[in-house]
Amino acid sequence: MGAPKQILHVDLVVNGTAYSRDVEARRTLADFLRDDLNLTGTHLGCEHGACGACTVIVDGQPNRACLVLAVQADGSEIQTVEGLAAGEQLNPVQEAFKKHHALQCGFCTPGFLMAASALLQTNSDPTELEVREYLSGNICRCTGYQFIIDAVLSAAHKMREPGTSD
Amino acid sequence: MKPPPFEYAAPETIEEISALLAEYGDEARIIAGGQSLMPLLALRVVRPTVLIDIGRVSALDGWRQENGILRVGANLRQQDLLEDEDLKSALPLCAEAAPQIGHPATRSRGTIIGSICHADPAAELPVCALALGALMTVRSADGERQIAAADFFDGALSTAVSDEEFVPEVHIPLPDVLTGFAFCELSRRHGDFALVGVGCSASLDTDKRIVTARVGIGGVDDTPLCFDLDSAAKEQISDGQSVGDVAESIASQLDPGTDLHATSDYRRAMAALLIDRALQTAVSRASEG
Repeated sequence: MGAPKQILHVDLVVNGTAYSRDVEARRTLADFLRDDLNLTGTHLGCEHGACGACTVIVDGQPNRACLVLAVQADGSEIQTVEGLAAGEQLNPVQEAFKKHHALQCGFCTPGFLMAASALLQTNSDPTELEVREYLSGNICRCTGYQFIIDAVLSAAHKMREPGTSD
Repeated sequence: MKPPPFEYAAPETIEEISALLAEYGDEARIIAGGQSLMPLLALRVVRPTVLIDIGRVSALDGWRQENGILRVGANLRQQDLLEDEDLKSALPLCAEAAPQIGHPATRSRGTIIGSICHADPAAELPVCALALGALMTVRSADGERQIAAADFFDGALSTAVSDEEFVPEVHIPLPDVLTGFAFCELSRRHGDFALVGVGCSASLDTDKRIVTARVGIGGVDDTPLCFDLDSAAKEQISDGQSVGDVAESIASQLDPGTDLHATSDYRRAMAALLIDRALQTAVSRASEG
């Protein structure tokens, strides 16, 4: 048998709530969110950084949660898909995904929503090309992407000029 | 899959990193951004006993200019090549390559030195390191040495860094005014590793004749490759003759492999095209100052 497991302490903030947990060093941030915090909105597709489904925002930057160890994220502030809606009220990006049919099976959607949110937090008026490039790290096997691009551009418009129709 | 079990060390100084490497040698792996290592852990290609996280060593943060040398620390992120205006103007070749390195969600954690040390033969930054004549600082508990980028890459995912050493810093000579750079690549999709990636630097004298010109090429062999133009080639381009012949002659020396994405002949043809394009652009940018 090997040596006893090394257990490390992690303190971080997710969607405004502080969490404190003991974890194994090998625990990824994605598994930490899903299994330790029961925040299962973050989805795991490939588990090795190819599909983008587990994208979350760490200290304002998009990260693939399967490529970050929970211990590396110690002290960070994290936004996940659970933090987007206010109760039953979808946020503008989620609303636009719904309106433009930017999801079918929905498995990749949390990653797309978080990547799109990261883009719109730094660039409120992206071009279509900028949206396409920014989302190029996320794979969707249903939509063919066009409706996702439409939704992000529409959400950007709506967030810049609230009250206008798109 | 999930990473295999390992011990985790989070040193705070360079000396502590060296001491850990001296103790654990080939049983240790360094992690900075982790964007290359985490997939290898998840796929269980590597199974370290100890993971040494250098992300909290503040001496490895950032970059600075000193005596004509740009010194890049091991924790400097790829994203900084797109966001830090001073860094962009000091490292125009890397800045031009940067949008093609992975995706926003990997560039935000992935480091410049991490990508060079991962030594993927099709990655962008190893090609840039070659074209820029970078010097890799390599450190162990016994001291420091420097390895030129041209001697750094041993094979696919393999470098001249020994098990007891790590790379705290890379030194890049700062260009003078009459130097130009260009990076061109062909990949299947945006953010993919290159089928062929080419980085060029060209320096001119005050008569606008080429003094040095260097071509780095990725995706065509087990390591990225580097070619310094000989005097005949430099004369030929300075005299205004076709760059295409020079590009063809370099490409004819390549022996790329064939895989699912491209045949050997196609990669060689694309290498000739991209070398032509990058060299022309680098020379014209150099002459514009």
